[in-house]
Amino acid sequence: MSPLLTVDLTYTWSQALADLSQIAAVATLTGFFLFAIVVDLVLPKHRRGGAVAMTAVTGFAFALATAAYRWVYGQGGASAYHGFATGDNFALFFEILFATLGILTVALSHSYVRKRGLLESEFHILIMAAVIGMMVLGSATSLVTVFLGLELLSIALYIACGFVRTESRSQEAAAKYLLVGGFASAFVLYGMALIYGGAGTTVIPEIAKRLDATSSGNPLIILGIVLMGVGFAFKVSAAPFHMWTPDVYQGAPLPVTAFMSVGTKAAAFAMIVRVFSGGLPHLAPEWQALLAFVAATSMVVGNLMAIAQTSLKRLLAYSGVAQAGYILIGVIAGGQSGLSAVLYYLFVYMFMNFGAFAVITLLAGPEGDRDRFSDLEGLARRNPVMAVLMSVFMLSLAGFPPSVGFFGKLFLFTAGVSAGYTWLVVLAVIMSVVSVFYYVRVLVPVWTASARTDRVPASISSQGVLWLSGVASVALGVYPTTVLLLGQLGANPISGP
Amino acid sequence: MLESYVPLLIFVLIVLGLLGALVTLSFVLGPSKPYKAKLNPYESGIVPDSPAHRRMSVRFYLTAMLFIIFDVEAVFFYPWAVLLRQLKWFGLIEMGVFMGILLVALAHIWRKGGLEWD
Amino acid sequence: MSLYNDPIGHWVVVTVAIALLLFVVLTATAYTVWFERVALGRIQRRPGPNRVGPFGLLQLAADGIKLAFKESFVPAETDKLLFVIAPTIAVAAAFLSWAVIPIGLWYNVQYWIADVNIGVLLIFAFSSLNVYAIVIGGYASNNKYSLLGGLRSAAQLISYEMALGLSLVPTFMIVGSLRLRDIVEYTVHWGWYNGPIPLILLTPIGFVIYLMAAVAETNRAPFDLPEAEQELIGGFLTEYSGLKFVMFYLAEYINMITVSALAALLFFGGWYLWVIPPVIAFFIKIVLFLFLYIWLRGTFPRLRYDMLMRLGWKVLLPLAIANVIVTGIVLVATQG
Repeated sequence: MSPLLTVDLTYTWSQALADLSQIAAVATLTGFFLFAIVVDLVLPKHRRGGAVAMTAVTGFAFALATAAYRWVYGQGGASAYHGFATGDNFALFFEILFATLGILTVALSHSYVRKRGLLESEFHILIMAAVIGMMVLGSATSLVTVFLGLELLSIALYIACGFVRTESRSQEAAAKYLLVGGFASAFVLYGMALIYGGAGTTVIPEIAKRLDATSSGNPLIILGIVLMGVGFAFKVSAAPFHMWTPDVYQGAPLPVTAFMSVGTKAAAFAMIVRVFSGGLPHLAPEWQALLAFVAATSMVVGNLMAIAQTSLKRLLAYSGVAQAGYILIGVIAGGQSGLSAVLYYLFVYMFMNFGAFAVITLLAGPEGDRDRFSDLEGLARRNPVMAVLMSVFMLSLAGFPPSVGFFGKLFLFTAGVSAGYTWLVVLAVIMSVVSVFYYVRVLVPVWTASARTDRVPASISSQGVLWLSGVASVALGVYPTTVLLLGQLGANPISGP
Repeated sequence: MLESYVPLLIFVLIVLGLLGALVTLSFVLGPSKPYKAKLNPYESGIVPDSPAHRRMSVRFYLTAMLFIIFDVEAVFFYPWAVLLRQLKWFGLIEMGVFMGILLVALAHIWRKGGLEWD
Repeated sequence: MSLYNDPIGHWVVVTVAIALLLFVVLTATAYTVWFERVALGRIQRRPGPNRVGPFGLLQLAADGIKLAFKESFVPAETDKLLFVIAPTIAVAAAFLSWAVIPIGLWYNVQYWIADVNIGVLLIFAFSSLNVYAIVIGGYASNNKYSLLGGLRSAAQLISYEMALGLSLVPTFMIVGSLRLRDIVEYTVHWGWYNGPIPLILLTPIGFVIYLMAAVAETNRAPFDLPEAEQELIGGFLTEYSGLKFVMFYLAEYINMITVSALAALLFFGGWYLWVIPPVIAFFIKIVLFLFLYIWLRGTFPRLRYDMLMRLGWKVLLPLAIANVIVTGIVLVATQG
């Protein structure tokens, strides 16, 4: 019998395996993600949380190992799934980053979730889902997959933000994040649709080929860039689209705040670099102008607003807005130096910012997060190790040498100057000086004498997180070249060597 | 290929015309003697004391969301099912992965009580 | 063969064909109602309608005329536009399915309006519009019974729609087409036998799921919870009167015929039945299914709502998925 319909089957086993190997880390993590859900379903209640946490950590470790293996043996780079994804060094760099972040988050949140009596297994599963979304963003080479990753990441985080169901602040954070995030996603999607309309394809390298400098006369394309730029700015929480950040950071449970402050930002920057630097290189003047405006406002607004804050979460939220401004300088500068500076900064930012949040997380009690300045009082006595590490993180965020923060800013600013954005860099330097004030202000209660003597307990896994972040924040600053080199290799697929 | 849909379009137009006529007739034919009590919402003879549009159980929304997930799954099955004989084991395994992920989702919903109605 | 190969008479032929089809469907619907009332009457050991015309055959005409001249008012504080649109959607959705259902007239002659290669998918698309009619009708009525009935109905319809959709996937795998004609014409070569075969022999489980889901999809007893008169008065129908009520009623019975015809086409070889002339064979099969519906209504008590949802989600859906998997494996394994 002859078939009624025939189809041209050129997609074969070998092609499927080759494509799968390009996204090996994402696939591995997805497998563990599904396994974690099953584990959560079959185990007795009291053993679920620990088992799922173990599964999550194992999954992140395997994803990390897979990405590292592929990096070392240089197997990445081919376009997979008809140009929808790739496993180039850029993707691998972010896969490594996000897998590390996943391990840190699970290790930090394990005791926190128990202490506050939250649903353990769901929490870790959500974090895994968000990390998968972030990795997809790193390896996406089509606007469709970019959006897919963005939504996967966002939806998981919307739920995670409202994870403390008894706390109205957490609910408020979730609702705000959902509304603003949905708004931003719509912006991104409209922009993508317009770019697709102008270019006739969603595959990013193809867009780069089809749109040249003459496309800047096309209002569709320009509007598309503006809409996407606005949506991306929402996602990296850059001013003037940062309004949601302090409220969401403050309301969300602390490990989630720590996770999203680093992860969402890195993922969104991966997205910006992929789409803008990778997909629209010939239209750089247009999006550079947009991003330069956003970067300048972010640095000014973020740093000035941070001064007035009394909540540590809100302070770090505004600090995050300012940091997004710094990183945008690297994106605007572009080229290998600019993009590698971005990757370097994102990588070290993970350690210093996550470390800072980790310290605050450990202060939390069963009744809720304690994030006032007064909660840090006498930390030098109550837990000297944490006091020292907190100082490291704060000084690093402020950009004191020889911390990672200093070198990160140095690379970003030199790239900015050499790309001719001197005014932006001057502004950034001035604002960095301003930022020293509020970062150091955090350290005042830590080191001043206080009557408080209650110890701040830290579980072994949390101590591990603290130590790893602290050591990395110092070591990667003393030896900045290693990560910078990785950053350069990671930036190569976009910027060219 | 696409011209096979033309009769469908005509069909739609004719049906809409017919229904338009029917709706118009429903206003023209019968008597119309409205008064207040007749126009009240019917609540088995009791005078309504609260607006009809109230908040509904969250289960309805949950069901709607689950429907979206599994209906999209079903739609993905259709083209695959039509071509299965040519896709052979390759197609079967590819779809098995897809189905497996959705089955995990179904198991999760089931076990967590998302399908309970009481 | 196509009825419209002649390009000049194309539009005319199509329009006439549609008019004829609508007439046939409407008449069939009217007599389905008569059939149901008589059959239910006999099941309950009473005569049923037998006064108007011979055997009560004109009862429906009388009912129709009566309802047409009844007051069809729109209650206060309703959403007037939506209130009127809802029954329109219901009937339109019910009619449109018939655009792609082929009616076997003779062995090589079928009657159809549109011969598209995604026939079954289109039928699902049209029939799922029915949910909108019910939800909109329930919402617009400004009545608690209506709203609750509408929501219940929507939840029920979408719950069973998945099982319905998945129950047919094995059929499509076996036949390799979504076109209803191809499914009916599916032939096998088993030893000395060459010819069409009722697909129920190959996917019996699919048929069982289809049957149950189809009853639920048409809101028929024992799954007629949206209109449960004891608890919800008339569900979404509570505020409807006159011709607008007729339209909802009409839609329900057209849908009944549609799913019966589909069952005949998808699982029982459509117009093929031994030596019986195709058009008669097709008719017999549809009537048998209609009788089955009426029989179910006469026999089974209504399900409780949680039981209904449990059946849809926890029995039919997993069963349908398992059916797809098993059929797929067997099919691929046996073809080598």
